[in-house]
Amino acid sequence: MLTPIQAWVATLVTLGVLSYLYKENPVFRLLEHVMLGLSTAHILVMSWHGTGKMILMKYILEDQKLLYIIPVVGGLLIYTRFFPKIAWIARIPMSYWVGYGIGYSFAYDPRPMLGQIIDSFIKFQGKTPGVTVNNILFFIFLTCSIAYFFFTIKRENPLMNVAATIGRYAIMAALGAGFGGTVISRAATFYGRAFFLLKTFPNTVFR
Amino acid sequence: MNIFEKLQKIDARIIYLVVFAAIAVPMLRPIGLPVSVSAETRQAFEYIEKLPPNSVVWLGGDYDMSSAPELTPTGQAIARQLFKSGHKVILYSMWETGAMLNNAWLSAIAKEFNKEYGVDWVDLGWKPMAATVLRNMTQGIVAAASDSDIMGRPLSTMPLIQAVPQLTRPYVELVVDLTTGRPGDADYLSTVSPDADKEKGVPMVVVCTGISGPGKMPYIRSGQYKGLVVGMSGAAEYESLVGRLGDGTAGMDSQAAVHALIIVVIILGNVGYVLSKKK
Repeated sequence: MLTPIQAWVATLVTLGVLSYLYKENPVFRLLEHVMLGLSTAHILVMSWHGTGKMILMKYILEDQKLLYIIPVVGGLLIYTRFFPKIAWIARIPMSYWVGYGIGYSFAYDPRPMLGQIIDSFIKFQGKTPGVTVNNILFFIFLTCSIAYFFFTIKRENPLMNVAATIGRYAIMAALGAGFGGTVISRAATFYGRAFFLLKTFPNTVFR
Repeated sequence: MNIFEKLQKIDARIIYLVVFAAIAVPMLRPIGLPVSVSAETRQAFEYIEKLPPNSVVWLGGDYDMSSAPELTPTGQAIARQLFKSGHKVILYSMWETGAMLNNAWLSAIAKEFNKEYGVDWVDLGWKPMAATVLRNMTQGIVAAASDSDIMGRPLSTMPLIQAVPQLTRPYVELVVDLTTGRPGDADYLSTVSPDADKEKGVPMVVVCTGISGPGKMPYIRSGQYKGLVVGMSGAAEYESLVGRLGDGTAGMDSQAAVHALIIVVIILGNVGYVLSKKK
């Protein structure tokens, strides 16, 4: 449950951030820096309570699982970048993260795409005429969108030119849908803050 | 400067003010616009309704404050549906600033249904390298989560986690991911879903923001998602299906007013552009 003091702080911060809509100002910049500091501190505390504390206190000190020391030391090496003479050591854990990240992406990310590719092999005939039309349009827009990104055959080829043009319009329609979605989301975010200012704040402070 | 040129150069601050008015007026004086339920939202609702009794559902809270108005109402409606049906919930947040936010609303709903922490629901909180930890949870939840819940309490002593050693079937029946980007549903899809493991993979229902809604529709069509709830309108739809109207429904009047306003502004800008070109 929100207390009146919390409501006041949240309201003043909200108004301070929204003041950017009028123009850039020192209050907004101050709040921006406070937000950065708070979220960094938040990550540190959450990391300690959610992982670090248990690994150090229980696994290493209590259960004597000493192998855990290796990743702990490896992770701490990243802080050597604060010391110019040995800053190069920080590249070791960094290279591990980059290597792991790339390997992870290669191993897992393509799998869901196979489902999408398999789903693109569809029968034109649907249960209703509407579904049939939808399937035909899907086929046309899929192949034409791929044609738009197919650069091996020159656009002077009339078939390729028509396909790429249709593909471009299909992509533009998709981007338009994306833009519509962006507007919806931004409006919802603004709604959340407006709801707080007009409903939550007065109900908390003046109840 | 003629009227057509002025139309293209309306001060953004005036538009912000009008947008604020479009949000505030329906909020203070609700119109009560009707809500029609989309096929994707109904699919999500019905899939959850048909879960076997006492199922364990994994709730992914992969968002922060900026997406909370869109995603939290659906999350709350789904949590109420799950607790009401006697299902158990494990919450895991891959966005660090969203972890406490998710904990706040889920613990309030658990209290509403007299659900016991550790037995009926558990919050794993946020973990560093959250997406990698997620994959490791398919091997073992306790080890992957460093045996700590959101407050640092040992998971290994909690009955719910003892009954659910890993994030796979048959232990977990469904993943419901409230997502706003990455890490999020794409990580569940590639490491936890049947796409990653045909036998043990867990089916998914996704709740996403309006921005990402169009991009996720193909996954419904292919069956990779069992249901999809998009944005605040999806929340309103879901609330109407659950039978308890909440923040999603309350926001629909304001959303509709803002959408109408944006359409008018776009038309005005384009009319101004076309007519000023003709001149």
